[in-house]
Amino acid sequence: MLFNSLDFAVFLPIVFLLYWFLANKTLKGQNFFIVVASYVFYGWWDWKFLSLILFSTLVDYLVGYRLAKEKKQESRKMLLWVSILVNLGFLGFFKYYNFFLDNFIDAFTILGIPFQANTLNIILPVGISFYTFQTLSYSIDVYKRRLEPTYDFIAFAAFVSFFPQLVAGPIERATNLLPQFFKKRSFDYVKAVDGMRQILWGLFKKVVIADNCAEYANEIFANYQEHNGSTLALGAAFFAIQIYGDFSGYSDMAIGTSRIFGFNLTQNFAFPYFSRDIAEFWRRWHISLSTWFRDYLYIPLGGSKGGTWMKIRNTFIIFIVSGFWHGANWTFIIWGALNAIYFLPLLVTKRNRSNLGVVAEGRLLPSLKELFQIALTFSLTCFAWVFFRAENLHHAFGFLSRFFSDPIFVMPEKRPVQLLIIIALFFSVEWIGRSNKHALESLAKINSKKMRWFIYVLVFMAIVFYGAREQKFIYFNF
Amino acid sequence: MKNFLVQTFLALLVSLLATGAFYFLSNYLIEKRARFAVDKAKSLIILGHSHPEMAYNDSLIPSAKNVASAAEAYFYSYHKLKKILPQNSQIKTVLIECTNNQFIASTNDWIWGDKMPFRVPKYNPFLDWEEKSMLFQKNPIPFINANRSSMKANFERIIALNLDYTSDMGGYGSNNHVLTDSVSGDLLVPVDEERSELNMRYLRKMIDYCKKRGVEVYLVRSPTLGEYYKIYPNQDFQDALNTYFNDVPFLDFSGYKLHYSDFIDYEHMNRKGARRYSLWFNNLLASGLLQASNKQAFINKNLPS
Repeated sequence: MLFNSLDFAVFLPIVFLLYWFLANKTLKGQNFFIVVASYVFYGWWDWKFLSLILFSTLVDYLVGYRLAKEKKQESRKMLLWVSILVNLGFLGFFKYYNFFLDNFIDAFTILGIPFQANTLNIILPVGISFYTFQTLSYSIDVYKRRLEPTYDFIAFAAFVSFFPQLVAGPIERATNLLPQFFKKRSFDYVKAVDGMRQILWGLFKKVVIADNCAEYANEIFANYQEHNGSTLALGAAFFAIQIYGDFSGYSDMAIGTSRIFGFNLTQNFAFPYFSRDIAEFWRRWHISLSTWFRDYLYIPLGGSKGGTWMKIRNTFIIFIVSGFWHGANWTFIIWGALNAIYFLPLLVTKRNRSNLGVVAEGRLLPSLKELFQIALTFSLTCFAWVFFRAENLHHAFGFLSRFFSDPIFVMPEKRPVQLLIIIALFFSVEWIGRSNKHALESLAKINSKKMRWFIYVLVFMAIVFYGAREQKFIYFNF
Repeated sequence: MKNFLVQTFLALLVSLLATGAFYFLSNYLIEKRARFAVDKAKSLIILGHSHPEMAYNDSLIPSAKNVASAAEAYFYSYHKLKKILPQNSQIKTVLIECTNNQFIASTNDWIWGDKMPFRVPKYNPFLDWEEKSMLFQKNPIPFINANRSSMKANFERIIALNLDYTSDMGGYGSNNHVLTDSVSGDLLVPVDEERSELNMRYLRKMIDYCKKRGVEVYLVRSPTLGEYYKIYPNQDFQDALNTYFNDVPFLDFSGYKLHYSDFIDYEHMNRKGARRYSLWFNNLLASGLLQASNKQAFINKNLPS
C-alpha cells in the first residue's frame, strides 16, 4: 500500500479510529492491533511475502530469547551468526543472487572458462532491505548486551512489522523503537497535530516535488543523447530533488503517521541539501541507514581509531557497502565509491566534523561563503546521483560523456518555469524550517490560527493541483 | 482526542471546500470567458479526429480552418463546436469527419478511457453535470485525476490572464514520416465491435446544433489507403450512416487516390499527401463544391484521373 494512494487514505483513518477506540484498552491490545494492521498493510502488496516477515520475526525473537539464557560465549556467537545468516541470506537471495551469478558468468567468460547457469526470475519483496536491518540490529544489540531481549512476541512482531516504516524506513534501532511497545500509548494532542503537519508536508514533497521532477528527470535520462549539456545538468538536478522529495517525503509521512499512533521515530533527513560539505551531507541524508552502518560496520571495523590507511579502508568499505545495499548494480557501487572519494579529503584533513550545526543559524540568509559551499556540495551530489539514477554503467558514462562534451553554458532545452518556481518556494519553506525536525514544525509557533489554516489549505490545494499521477516510491525498489 | 478529530475533520473540510470553490469558480469563469477565435477570412471549419487533422493543411485552403484533433471523440468536439460557432459568426459551413472508425465502441475509450486525461483538463469547464457524472461512473479514479489536472490548467490560465483557447482548439498537424511499403496483410484483421451509441449521439447533437444556428453542416470522409477499409469494413458504417444520419449530406473523398508515400500509415496522411490533397480540396471549394446541387457527383467528377 502506498502512502500516496487512495487505499492508504481509507486505511489510515480506519486503523487510527480502531486503534484509539477499540484496541486502546490494554497494551497487548494496542500491540496486537498494530501487528494486524501492519500485516494487512504489507499483505495489500503481496500477502505471500508475509511469511518472510513472519519467519524473520520468529528467528530473531528466538535468537534473542536464547541469547538471554545462553552464558557460553561460543554459543552466543553461534546464535548471532544464525540471525546474521538468515537475515542476510534472505537479502542475498532475493536481492543479489542474480547479480552475483551474472558477474560470475562474466568473470569466467573473461578467463576463457565457459560457465553456464540460469538466472532466476526473483521478485524483490518490498522493504526487505529495511526490516532485515532492523531485526538484525536487535540481535546484535542483544548479543552485545546493549539491549535486554524481549519475551513478548507480539511486541517484537509489532516492532518488526510496524507499518509506517516497514517498507522504506526509517530503519529503527531496537533500542529506540522496541521499548515504545512496552509502554501503553496514550493520545497526545500536540504530537498528533504535528504528526498531521508532517504527513501533509511529506505528501507535498512526494506528489508535488518528487513526482513532477520525475517526469523531467525520466525524460532527460532516457533521451540523454538528444539533449545539450545544460539540459543534462538540469536533469541530474531534477533527479537530486526528486529523490530527496520522494524519500524524505516518505520518511516524513512515516514519522508523522507514527506520531499520531503515539510513537517517535528517528529523524531520517535533516535538510541535507543545505549541507556545506559532504560529511555534513551524510550526517543529514538517510540518517537511520548512515548511523546503522556507522554502528554495526564502521565502528566494529575499527572506525577512525586506527591509522590513516585504516580510516581510508573503513570509509571505502562503508560507502561501497551502503551503495550496494541500495541495489544489485555496479552503478550503486560506483555511487558509493564516489561519495567515499568526496569524503576522504575531509577525513584525512580532519575537517569532517567542521560543520556540525545548522547552516546560518539565527540568520535569514547564508553568507556568500556558505552559499558557495552549499552549491558545491549540491553539485557534487548531483554528479554522484547520475550513477545512482542510471540503468547501468554504460548509461551513466554515456550521460556524463555527453554532458562533458557538450557546451554547458547554453540555455537548457527544457525550461519548466512553473516547476522551477515551485521548487524555489519549496526550498524557501525548507530553509525557514531548517532548525526543526521537519519544515512545517515551525507553524506551531504561529499564533494566528487563521494563518496556520490558510497555509494548510494552500499546501492541500497545491497537492491537489500539482500532484502528478500516483507514482511508486523510489526506495520501494531497495 | 475529540478535539483532534474535530480539528482534523474541519481542516480537511475547509481544504476540500476551498478546492471545491476554486473548481466551480474557475470552471464558471472559463466557461463564460473562454475565447475561441477563428480568422475572419475563414468561413468553414473542419472538425474530427486525426484523419482530418493530418489531411487538411489549412494554410493552403484560405477559406477553411482545421480544428480537428487526434483521437477526439464527438463527445468533446461538440463542446468545441458550441464555443466556436457563437463567437465566430462568419462561419457558415461545418465539415465533420465521419469515417468508419468513428462509430465503433473503441471510440468510447477516447471519451472515458486512456484519452480522458488529455481531454477533460481542456473541456472540463464546458461539460455539464450529466456528462461529468457519466465520466465519473465510467472511470472514477482517472476522472478524479483528470479533474485535478483540470484545476491546475484552470489555475494557470487564470494566473496568466489567458482564457484564449484559440491555439488549443486543434489544427493541422503535419508529419514527415513516409510509409515505404504496403501494410502486411497479416495485420489487417477486420475490427468486429459494437457501435458507440454515445459517440453517435454526440454526432447527432453536433448536427442539430449547426442546424439550429443556421450553419450548413456536412459529414465528410477523408482519403485513406485501401487497407483501412479492410480493418474497418464499410458495411456497418454505411448502415449506421443511412439509418441515423440520412438527413445530412455525406461527402465522400475516399475516392481521391494517393500513394503509399503520401501516408505515414494506412490512414494518416503525411505532409506531402496533405499538401496534394489540400490543394485539390481548395480547388474543389473554389470551383463551387458547396454550391453544387449534387455534391458527391461534383467530387467524383473532379477526382484526379
